[in-house]
Amino acid sequence: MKVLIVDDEKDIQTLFEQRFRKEIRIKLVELAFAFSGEEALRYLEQNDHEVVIILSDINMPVMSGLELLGHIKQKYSTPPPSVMMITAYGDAENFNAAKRLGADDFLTKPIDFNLLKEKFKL
Amino acid sequence: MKKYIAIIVILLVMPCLGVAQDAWLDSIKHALSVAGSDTSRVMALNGYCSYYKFKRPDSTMFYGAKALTLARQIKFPKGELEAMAYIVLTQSALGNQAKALQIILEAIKIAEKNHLIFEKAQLLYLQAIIHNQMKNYEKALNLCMESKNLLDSIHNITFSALVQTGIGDAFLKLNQPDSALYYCQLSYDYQLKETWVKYYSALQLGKIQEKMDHTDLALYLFRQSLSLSDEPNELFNSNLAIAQLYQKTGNLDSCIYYGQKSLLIAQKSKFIANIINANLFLSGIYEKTDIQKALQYSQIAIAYKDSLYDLANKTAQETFLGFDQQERQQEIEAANTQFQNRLRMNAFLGITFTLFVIAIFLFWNSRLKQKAKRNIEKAYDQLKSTQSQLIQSEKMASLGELTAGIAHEIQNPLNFVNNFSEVSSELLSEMKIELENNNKEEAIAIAEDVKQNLEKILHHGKRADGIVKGMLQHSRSSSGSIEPTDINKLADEYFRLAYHGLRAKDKSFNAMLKTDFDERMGTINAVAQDIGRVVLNLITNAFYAVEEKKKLQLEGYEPTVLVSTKRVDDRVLISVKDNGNGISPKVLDKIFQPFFTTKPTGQGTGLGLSLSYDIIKAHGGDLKVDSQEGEGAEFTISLPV
Repeated sequence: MKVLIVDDEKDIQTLFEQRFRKEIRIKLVELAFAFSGEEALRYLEQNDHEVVIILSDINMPVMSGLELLGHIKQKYSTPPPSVMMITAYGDAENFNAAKRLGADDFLTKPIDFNLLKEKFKL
Repeated sequence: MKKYIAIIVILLVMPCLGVAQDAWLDSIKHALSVAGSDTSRVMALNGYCSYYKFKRPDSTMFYGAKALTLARQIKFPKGELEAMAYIVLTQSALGNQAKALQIILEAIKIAEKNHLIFEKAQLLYLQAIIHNQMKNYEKALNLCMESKNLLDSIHNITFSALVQTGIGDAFLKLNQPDSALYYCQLSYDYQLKETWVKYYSALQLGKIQEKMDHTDLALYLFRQSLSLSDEPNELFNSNLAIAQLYQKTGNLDSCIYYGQKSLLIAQKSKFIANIINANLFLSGIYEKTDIQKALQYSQIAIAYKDSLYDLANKTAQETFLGFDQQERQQEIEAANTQFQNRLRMNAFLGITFTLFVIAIFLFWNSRLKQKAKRNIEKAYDQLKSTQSQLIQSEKMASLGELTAGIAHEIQNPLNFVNNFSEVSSELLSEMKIELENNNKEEAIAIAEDVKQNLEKILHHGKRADGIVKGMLQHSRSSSGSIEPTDINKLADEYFRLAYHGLRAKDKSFNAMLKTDFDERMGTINAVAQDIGRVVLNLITNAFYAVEEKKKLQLEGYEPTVLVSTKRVDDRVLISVKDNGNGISPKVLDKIFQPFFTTKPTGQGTGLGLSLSYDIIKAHGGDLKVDSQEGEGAEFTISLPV
């Protein structure tokens, strides 16, 4: 299962790799990282249909997570990857905007990795 | 002075003058002809008066008036008083006592004004003589006393002695022979060189003794006075006194002898009053024995009297008129002078008053000014305090804008701290298991990860710390100190804070953030928090501008904000450029004014750019704006290195 994580904070990569080290080791999960919305779209273009789940931060410069969400849901209609939104601001406005744009799930920072693993059905 | 005194004395004491008159007149004429100064002319004219005083009252009045006028012209008060004294004496001799008193009172005033004590004493004595003539003996006595006190105060013994004799005379007339005797005796006992004083006291003492019926003593004293007489008038008085005494004792032969002797002296000296007196006396003597002779003497006396009064009424009167006119003229002049003096006084008072008013006005004005100054200072202080409060609220307002950004900026590192701590703890548990299983390589790999995580925890902890410090610095009200400031770092920091701040408020906001930092910038000396505030303000404005334009939903519009730095020679430039709506030329020159804002009410203080401008000016720099309406704006801070 390939998961794309989008966040402008580069350290998020180290964190995820360590959290999912066991899963990665037994090849249960494959992690890819993009540090901006544009980068994520480029990755998706290059690795079409590989990614099953996208985890995106909302609060990013230039292209926000919500914009990215909109692009993905428009572009990749069949089969659409599951998109989970992560934000520091766990507010109703962002939640509603994400839902409207077709977000599959919604997470708030700090990320509860146990909950995330459950959602991944690992 | 001595001559002057002598003249006055002769004038006052002697009712008539006698021998050696022509020689005297010649000397006066000579004196007048050679008189160089006006002062000596006055004295010569007074000499004429003295010469003519009882022989020709008209001449006396004529020369007296002349002397008086000249003396007044040249302001010679002593000469003036002497002339007045002659006029007084002439007036009294002519029976015009009222006029005489009027003049003498005036003369006394002049003496007082000029502080001429001796002359005043003499005039008082002259006044006493006139009162004596008017039979007002008490007044005469008082005047003599006053005169004596003045003379004693200037230690003039001679005249004091003379006046004491006068006192004696007054007491005698008041029928107080004891007092009269006391004063005349005092006068008589003075050891004086001046025989005419002695003569007078002897004569008066004799009269007192006669009154007290001490006939022998009286006769002795009269003879003494006769022996002391060296002037015709003195000789006449002494002889007549002896004649009168003999009349009283009934010694008619001796009486007639001395009476005729005195008549001869009088006739020789041409002293009219004495001639009259002698004739009247002889007429009285013969009244009972030889009526024919008595009538003859009487007729002579009457004829002299008539001639005297004719003279007085005719020529003298004319002189009087002239004199009166002169007096009036002088009065008018005096009044004029007084008027001018009063005018001057009034002018002086007027000027003084005006100056006073001006002074008061100036004082009042200066007080008003001081008050106004105090008010202005007070208002200025209030303004300053209000301004600092405004600056503080602007700081707090911009801090409010930052708060959400700060929260986000802190939340992220905090998340990392928490997450890396948590995962590190898990990794250590795994490492323990690996070590128990002797899986050394795996344990080392885990240890590497934990070490890396700890570094990350430290990094994010410091990141949060820096943000909190920056926030505190931003809100601090006291002015910061000048320190080396990394402009690139500062600009980047505030760019991020501003962006996240705005994003926190408006979730849909987004913009292209571009930076172009000159690596040669280094550090400059500045108050970092102040420059940071300016940069933050410019960036916030830029974001606001692009957000406003974005609302127009133009096709293909990409909101972009560029923050760049550049080093040019000895200046650094910090530029904040946006592609928003720009600034219209209408408001371009107002944007740096305090309280000017284009934002809706309640959204902006209107102080941001104004304070920014002040801060940059305080750093010796410039804040400039370049804008094309509809195209965007670029603000450039220029600071000296």
